[in-house]
Amino acid sequence: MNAISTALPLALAYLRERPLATLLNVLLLSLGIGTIVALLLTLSQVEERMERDAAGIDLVVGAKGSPLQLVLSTVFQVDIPTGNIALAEANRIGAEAAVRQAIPLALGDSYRGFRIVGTRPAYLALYGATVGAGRAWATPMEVLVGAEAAARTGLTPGQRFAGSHGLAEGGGSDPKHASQPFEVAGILTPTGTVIDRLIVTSLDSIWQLHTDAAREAPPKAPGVNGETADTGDKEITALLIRYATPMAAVSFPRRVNAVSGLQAASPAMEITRLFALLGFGVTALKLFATIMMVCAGLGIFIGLMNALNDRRADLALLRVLGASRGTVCLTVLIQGLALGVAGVILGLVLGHGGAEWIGQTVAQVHRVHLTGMTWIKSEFTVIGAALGLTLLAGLFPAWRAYREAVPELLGRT
Amino acid sequence: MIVEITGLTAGYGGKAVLALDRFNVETGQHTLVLGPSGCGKTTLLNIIAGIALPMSGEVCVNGTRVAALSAGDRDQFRGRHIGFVMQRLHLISALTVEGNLRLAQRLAGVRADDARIRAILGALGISHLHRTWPRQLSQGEAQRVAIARAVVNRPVLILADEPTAALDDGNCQAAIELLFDQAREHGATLLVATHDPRIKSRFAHVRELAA
Repeated sequence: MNAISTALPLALAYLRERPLATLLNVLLLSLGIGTIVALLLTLSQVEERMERDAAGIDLVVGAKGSPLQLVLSTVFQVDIPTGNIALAEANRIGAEAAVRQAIPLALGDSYRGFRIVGTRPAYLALYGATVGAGRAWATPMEVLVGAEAAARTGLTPGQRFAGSHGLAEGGGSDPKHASQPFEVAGILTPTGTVIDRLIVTSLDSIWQLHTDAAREAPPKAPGVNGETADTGDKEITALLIRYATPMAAVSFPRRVNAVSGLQAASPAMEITRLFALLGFGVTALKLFATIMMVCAGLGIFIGLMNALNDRRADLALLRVLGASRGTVCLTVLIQGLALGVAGVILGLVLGHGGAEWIGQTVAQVHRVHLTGMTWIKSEFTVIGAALGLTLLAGLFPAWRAYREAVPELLGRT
Repeated sequence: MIVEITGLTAGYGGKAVLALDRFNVETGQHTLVLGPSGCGKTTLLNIIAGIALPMSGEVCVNGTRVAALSAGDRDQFRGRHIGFVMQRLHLISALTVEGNLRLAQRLAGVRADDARIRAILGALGISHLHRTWPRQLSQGEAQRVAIARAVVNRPVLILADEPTAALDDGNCQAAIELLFDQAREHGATLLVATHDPRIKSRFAHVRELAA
């Protein structure tokens, strides 16, 4: 204890004496740590978010095209859909024995960048969303607004608005469905899932908006799910399917893909594929950050070795003044560790700040929530690695200080 | 008897550079060890301070057989009981004057005592320098700080290795007077090793070592 209380102030004084070298090493270390931490925070949150959004969805059935695009557009609501499929076809697939639940989605319109999704109440149940203010939709053209969409657009129950055709943000240039406005029936409670940034309505609303027949045709008798029973030439964008048994995964997608114009995509597989695609970039970034950290470790090692040579006279003096071998050794080790601790603290600030900044930037473009104000377990691995690295960097210089023969040093002074 | 040496041979790497049959210093009897460079003066001081171990012989300092102590205890003993003044008045450049003195207290395992530090700096007429960095000191000021550091732990023995070799005549006399003053003040015995004949007349006890 006494040795540490002696060595610590001296080590800090030595670091203060060389502010530039100290600053450089701390900065290099913290940039490496910051990059890795920001990366880990972002990835873990994106992954967690995607898993939550895809929970309960075993398969997506939609128009042929890229399966990744199909999953991105219908499950995560970030890409444009691959196309539409006939409602009759969808109903037939949804009725198969292998299917426990099939939720239809009809996309194509938006309001100020928030997608208007035609679906059934089961979609709300999928994400555990309940009506917070107002009531559920009862008639076509009534909508429920997701918590975040409501907060950003300021929509309140009873308010009317015109949707824009197209999913692009802004959507100002797209033709508006001004003649057929939507009316807000209620606001959904926050769920932390994709539904928070959606405006949800019945399928009928979408059909009414997009079929010419809707113009003058008298309302038809309600069928199953409260929708008009007649499928006619109606279309939907996709079907979110939950299997009745895990065994369905073996043959069901193949049966869907055999139908011309249809394809089946598994969200789990597509997420894996997406991260495999991103994998190279992530690996490169991690490698880059690791190289920065190793460089910092090397910088600390070289700095301590140089300082040791420049301070041989100090070393002799310390021993003359009564310092033990252990104390001078500790002084060198503490210098390395102090740089490590400073680098870790600054690196965590940079990493979390960076993740928060990424979150703010991405949130504006993609409406995906990321935050730096959270902790994940793998950060401790990074902290441990960084401190281990600085300890390692100080080990050899410290051993040299321990071994130094004082009479010879005194002879030289 | 503050220093009691019998049958000493000492050196480095198995090569003896110093052989002393008897070397005794009475408590309070300030002593000068005079000799040309290479005669083993520094080695003698190192042996007395427990920085180096003798090849053979008995060394007692203030009644303690230094060589019989463990390495850690030797370091502790040196910090507690022996003050050192070296030829180059080496101060730790990363610490202020005050910091250098406080370090000497800590390394000796003595409780940090700022009042004591201020008192010594005052006695040496340099209390205004307590927050100054070593590189800002003049040679005379650095000399005083080095002496202050040597006496801060109230040593029983002050070892000075060529304390005046780098000084001009005026500073040389001043430095020796300061050492005597401080030794008297703290009841310490002064043992100075030098090849500098200018200070010979100041000592009643002189031991000459041959090359």
